Amino acid sequence: MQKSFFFTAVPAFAIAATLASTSASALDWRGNVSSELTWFPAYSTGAKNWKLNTSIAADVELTQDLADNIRLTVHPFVRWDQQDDERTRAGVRELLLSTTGETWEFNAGLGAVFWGVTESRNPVDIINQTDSVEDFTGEEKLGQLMLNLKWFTDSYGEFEAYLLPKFEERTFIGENGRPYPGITVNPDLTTYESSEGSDHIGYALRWTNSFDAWDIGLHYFDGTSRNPSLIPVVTDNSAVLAPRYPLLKQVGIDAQGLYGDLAIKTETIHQSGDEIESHVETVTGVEYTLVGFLSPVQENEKIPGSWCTSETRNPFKKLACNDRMDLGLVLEYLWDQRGNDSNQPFQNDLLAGFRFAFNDAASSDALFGIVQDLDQGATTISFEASTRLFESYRLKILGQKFLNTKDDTVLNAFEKESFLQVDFSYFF
Amino acid sequence: MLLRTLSLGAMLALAPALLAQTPEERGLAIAVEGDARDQGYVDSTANMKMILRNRAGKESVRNVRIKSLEVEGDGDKSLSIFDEPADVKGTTSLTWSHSDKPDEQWLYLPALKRVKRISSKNKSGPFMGSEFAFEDIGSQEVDKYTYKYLRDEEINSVPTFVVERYPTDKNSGYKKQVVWIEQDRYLALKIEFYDRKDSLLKTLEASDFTQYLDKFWRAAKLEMTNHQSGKSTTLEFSGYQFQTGLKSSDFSKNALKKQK
Repeated sequence: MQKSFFFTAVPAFAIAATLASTSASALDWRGNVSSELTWFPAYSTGAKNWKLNTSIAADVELTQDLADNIRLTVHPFVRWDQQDDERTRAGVRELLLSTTGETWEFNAGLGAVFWGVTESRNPVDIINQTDSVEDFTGEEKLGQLMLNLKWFTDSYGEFEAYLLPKFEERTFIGENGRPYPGITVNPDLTTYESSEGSDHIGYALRWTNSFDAWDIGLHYFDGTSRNPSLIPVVTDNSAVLAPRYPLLKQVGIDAQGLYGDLAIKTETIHQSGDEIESHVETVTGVEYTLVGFLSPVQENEKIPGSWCTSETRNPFKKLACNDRMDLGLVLEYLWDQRGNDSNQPFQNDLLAGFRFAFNDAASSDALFGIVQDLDQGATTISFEASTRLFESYRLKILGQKFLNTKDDTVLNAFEKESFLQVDFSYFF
Repeated sequence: MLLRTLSLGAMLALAPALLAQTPEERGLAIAVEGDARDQGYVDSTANMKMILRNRAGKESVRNVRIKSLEVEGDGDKSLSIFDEPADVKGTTSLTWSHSDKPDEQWLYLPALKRVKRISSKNKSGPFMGSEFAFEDIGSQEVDKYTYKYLRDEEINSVPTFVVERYPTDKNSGYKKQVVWIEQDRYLALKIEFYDRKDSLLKTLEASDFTQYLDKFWRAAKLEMTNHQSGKSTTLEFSGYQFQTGLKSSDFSKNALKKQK
């Protein structure tokens, strides 16, 4: 699998190298080399008899202005993974030519587009395919071949049209990959509703505008579903899942209202098609930021001013006296009309998140999140913290803990898949 | 020369100075004059190097490029593009400041291709972990304070007006600021910031002023010292350019994604 990926990667690296060597003047880059160490306290089910994994990766996004208002973006990446062959690969996330006028923009090539406002999940974000082998949370995306025209107006917002001539399959971890979902997905068994397969041409339209405190986006999408149905099949005496990609039509809205420290957010979509049940999905919630939430400690008259001296070496005192730290509280409700028949796990779930921004010289942050399934009782706890070291490095620690998964149709396989990961990256 | 640089508005503001004036009127007149002398810059670009120093003297550096656009009858628009530290390279912030309503602010995160609208209410928060708060960095509009003239005073034998100003925004981290304004050129040489408990928090000192286009003075160095934490931040500006032909469309949400 991933042949198309690999073959586009080779010319992309060649173009990247040519850009870097010929014209240093207008070339700009942004990249990192990362090394990660993942530890699973428990062995997995079946053959996955390992607890520790190492992986290294590099990616670089290069932009070069070829002429006034004409820009080329090339974004190759490469990863080696000790345990999972599906994760060891090279590819390209972007290979895009852009031209810009005062009121319009045209993009052609392999592009990356983000739509959405919520924190837990982005149902409206349908242009790019999820690269789930790269990142368990589904935030990483694959490049999408596109022709894209944007038109900006002063009073009527921004209009976008996309023609999507080639479909990219979702990536799945291999049989040695973890966190292991209980059964392996075999991409060689992929089928499509469309007789044209991955050559089916999709299109999308989008409009966005701002009204005082509100930023609103509407979209329509017609094409191949990014999220496949996974059908159990038996091959060579073993059960695997075969991805099937139906065709669908999607309409949706994403909106954010900002009232001081309170943000109100929603992403709501309706999907329909011959092979999928017509349904609504939504993520709706609020985010409230407590700015300098520990400053009352310092401003409290009962606490002597000397208690919070800057010389203190007591780490708890240091933390309690940090009046620069912000705390963001996130509460989101995730719903899918199909209930337990949904092909995604968040059918009736609640997310509570706590985001700490230390506002220190090292830009340290920490995020705690709890997702509670209100139907089936499963709880997912996630933790992520990062800080800058030696100016150009970042250290990140993240963990995921699955609890009460016994009765959950999707998460029951994850009982032994809780993990802790340390990621150390160099940025350039 | 002097007359040429004085706008009509400034002359109107100065005229009452000849008559009896309350300290509040005089303080406002000085602020209006300072503002008037900086009108008409149209747009500017500059490089900003930020050096953060902790109590032990350990330094950490940020490099930011800044683009500003003057907006007639409203606050300025500005773009900040981060080049260093490398882990935030390409992160860009866009601010539309307003004199009559809260500023609007967006942040572009290049790794996620995501534009986030962020709250501009958080004025007192530190900018990039430095000793500068967002409100210290943002565009200084006359309407954002009320004023009171205190006295004349010399700093290093340069005559200054000493003016107290009080933020009108209740989300400001300050009860008041005391500003030393050079009488000759109307430049703020020194500002003392008092926290909400009215105790001295920080001192800002500006130096190495250069004049551009025969009119606009810009400090090449700003030094902020936090007296309570012992930390300090130096801003060094270089490569100032004015009237570079930037347009309103360069300060749109879409342009935010296109900076490099």
